[in-house]
Amino acid sequence: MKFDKKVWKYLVKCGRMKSIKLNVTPVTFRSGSLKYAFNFEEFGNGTEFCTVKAEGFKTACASVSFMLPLSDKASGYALVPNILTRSSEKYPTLTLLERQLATLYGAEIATDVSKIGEHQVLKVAIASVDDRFALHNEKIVSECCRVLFELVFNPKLTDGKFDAEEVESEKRLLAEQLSAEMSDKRVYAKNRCEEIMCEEELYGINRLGTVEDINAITAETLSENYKTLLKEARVLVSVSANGNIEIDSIKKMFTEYVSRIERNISLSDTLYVEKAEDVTYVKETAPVKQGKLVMGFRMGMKNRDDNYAARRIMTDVFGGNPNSKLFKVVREEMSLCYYCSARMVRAKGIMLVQSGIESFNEEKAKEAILNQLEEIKKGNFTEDDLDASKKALEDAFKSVSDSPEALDSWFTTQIGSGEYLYPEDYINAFKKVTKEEVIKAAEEVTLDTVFMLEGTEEDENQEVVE
Amino acid sequence: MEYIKNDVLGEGYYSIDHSSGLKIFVYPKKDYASTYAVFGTKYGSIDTRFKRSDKKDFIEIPAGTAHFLEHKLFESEELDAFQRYAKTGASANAYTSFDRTCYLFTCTGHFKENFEILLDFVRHPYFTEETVQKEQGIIGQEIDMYKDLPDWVCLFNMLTAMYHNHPVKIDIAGTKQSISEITAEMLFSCYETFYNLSNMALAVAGNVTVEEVVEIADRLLTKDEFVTVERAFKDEPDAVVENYVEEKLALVTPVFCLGYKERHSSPERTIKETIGKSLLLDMIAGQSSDLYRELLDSGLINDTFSTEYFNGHGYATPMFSGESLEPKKVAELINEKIGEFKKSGFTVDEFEMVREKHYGKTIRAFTDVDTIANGLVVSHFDNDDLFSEFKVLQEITSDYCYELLMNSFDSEKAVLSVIMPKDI
Repeated sequence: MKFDKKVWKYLVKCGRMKSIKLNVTPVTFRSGSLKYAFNFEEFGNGTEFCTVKAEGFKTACASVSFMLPLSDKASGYALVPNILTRSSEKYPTLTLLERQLATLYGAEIATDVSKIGEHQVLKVAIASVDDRFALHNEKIVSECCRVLFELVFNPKLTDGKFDAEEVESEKRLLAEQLSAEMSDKRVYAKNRCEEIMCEEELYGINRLGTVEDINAITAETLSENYKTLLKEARVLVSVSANGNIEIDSIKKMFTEYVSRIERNISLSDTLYVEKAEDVTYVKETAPVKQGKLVMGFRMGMKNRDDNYAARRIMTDVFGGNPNSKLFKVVREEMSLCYYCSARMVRAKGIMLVQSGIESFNEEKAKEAILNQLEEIKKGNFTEDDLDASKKALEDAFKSVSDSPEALDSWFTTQIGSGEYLYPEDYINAFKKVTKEEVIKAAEEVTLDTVFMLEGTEEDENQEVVE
Repeated sequence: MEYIKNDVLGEGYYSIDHSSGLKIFVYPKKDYASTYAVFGTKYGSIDTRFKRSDKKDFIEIPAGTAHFLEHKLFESEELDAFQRYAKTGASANAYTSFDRTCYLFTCTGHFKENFEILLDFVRHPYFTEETVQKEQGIIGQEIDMYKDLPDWVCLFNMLTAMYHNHPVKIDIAGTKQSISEITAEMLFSCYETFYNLSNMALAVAGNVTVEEVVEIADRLLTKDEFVTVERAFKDEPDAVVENYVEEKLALVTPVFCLGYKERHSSPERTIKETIGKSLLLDMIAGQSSDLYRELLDSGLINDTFSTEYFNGHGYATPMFSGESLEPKKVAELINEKIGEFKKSGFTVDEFEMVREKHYGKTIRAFTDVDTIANGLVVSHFDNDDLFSEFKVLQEITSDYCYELLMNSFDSEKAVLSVIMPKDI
């Protein structure tokens, strides 16, 4: 029921590295009647600090993100945010840390590992209430930033190594998180399709690596990874809060932590495969009721900015909202599924169509999905359909300014993209997209991989329904 | 019209008894870009047996009818609701829970048009026998999807082992069997009963004024005859059906759900009791508790572990859930810890810490327009006001929580539901 944050979250992921264009002067935007100001600073050596100040926020959010190329060490890096938020020099046990957070009015720490093109992004974030709700005049937001920096830059190391017991404990948790993703068949099928499709590319690596790689991590290797991360990753600190926060003291705090680190960043470009040569088909079975069909397409993109707006609109007209071709035809007209949608991965130039179906309907569903893509290529959609997609995207993008968490995500997912754009920049680009451009974007789409997870579970009510 | 203000937040909302018989709430947030509106009826999956105040007999309907009706209400003789929203760019949706069905949209522009669409389609049901049959295929796939989700199945297995008769144990969407019995006539009859404005509530939060909302409501909402609905549940015995239930599904790490069936003299729990129980659960096994640390360190749980006071009309249970390789061991340690707390109580520090944490969480909840709008509808259906949580958190005492502890968490009425991996 909640607003689908994915709409914009997946949109602003970056891929190709470019020279950095700096927004050195603070820019102020008005969205609705809310005024928020974005300020960006580069501290050199791939270290960036961005601040979003807004009037009226009741909450605040701060984060530190690290970005580095995907590699066979993905598991080893994915564990870093977890070990960092487990304890620190100042909060040597998890319970002491949790208690500190509880006294900061239930501040919450979150970690995230994501894949932006062929890069892995590791993030540690903290969310809290604004200072004005403090019952004893505490500076909650500054204190939270201090806790965040302590966790990230001042871990509990003995002889330069993380605590072996804590490493073992966090390894188990990460392995179970990866296992849970395999248990969720919708996620599993999507991951398998990407893996098969990009087998020869770095993008085929799971953002958490593999269970075997997680099990092979030791306190030594993890400590090495942490040191490499501090030295070589692109770093972005983001603070989104009410206008009254004293950002200078937070910035000073941060520079004190990072000034001790010798930096030498290492980054590479994401490979864009423009066209599929032939279609790979893989089928697996699982003892589940519903079959999952995932179709992976190459979009014809050369880089993340290559005709992005038209391709994004095309994806939406095809399967991005309840007015789209896939929803109207495959679900509503044909009653084949409960969900059938298309999603674009801008940072890699691919598009994925996902649907949950009766396994015996596989051929019917595939045909229907491809037919709808053909319809777009033939121009069989109206100006109203085009307009609906533009309006839906505009509406979703505009609401980014309503919460510190959304703004934090908006800007931090642009890490390494070379420039920081506003929701308004995209809205303006979408408005200009024409029907011809959408048709052209569809013509450049080629089917690369079909993955089918067939459900083998008997349906006890089958006869009743038929 | 009444304005209800909260001094901590420095904001408030309007509560309106509209002439049509509908309760309307408006929570303006002028700094926001978005506006969120929700139109709900007090009609959910547990309402399978009921009587209208103007009729003599109780009627019984198949499981999943409320959810089915939710799907069909989007349909129309001409453009369906989704197609109409496509013209404005709003993001529209609906959901059915145990005790309510809600239709919603969120938008950053064209509020007036969106709000008119919402009020119009919810008030004008249109469907035929043919389109009802077509929907069975879509909902059938929705049911299958949920049947493959371990957490979902685990919860319903626990409820089935806990309740002999209460319909909370039945999947919200029903079963393929039960939905095959649903007819267009049945849906119309349920609509007539539950979608009476006196059984509904409307809430709008965000970039909106009370005048805008009232103007459109005045224009579009006609008065309904006052009808109330009486829910009838079969008697529910004190005892559980069984203490342990297990099923196998395709998964890697087993999942579990542990609950303690409660017996109450009235069907609904107060906000005070709900908050008291949440504080208790946090002290027993929240992330800053000793037990949570012990379980985590010994490899028995992972960070999916959570607690909740699960309750609604005629059902209530404190609940612990998560993933574990040894669910029975986890249940045993939780039981032990509850025993210790019952024996020696908890410290003032422990209590104050969770109280401050909940205070912060409550404030943070008022950032989201969706939480606010849905919260207004839910608290109205519960005969409560949206801000009562602040007052309760201020006044609640550790003695009260201790009393709640002593009157619940009965290990004889505990149910452990486990989903184990299926051998492939």
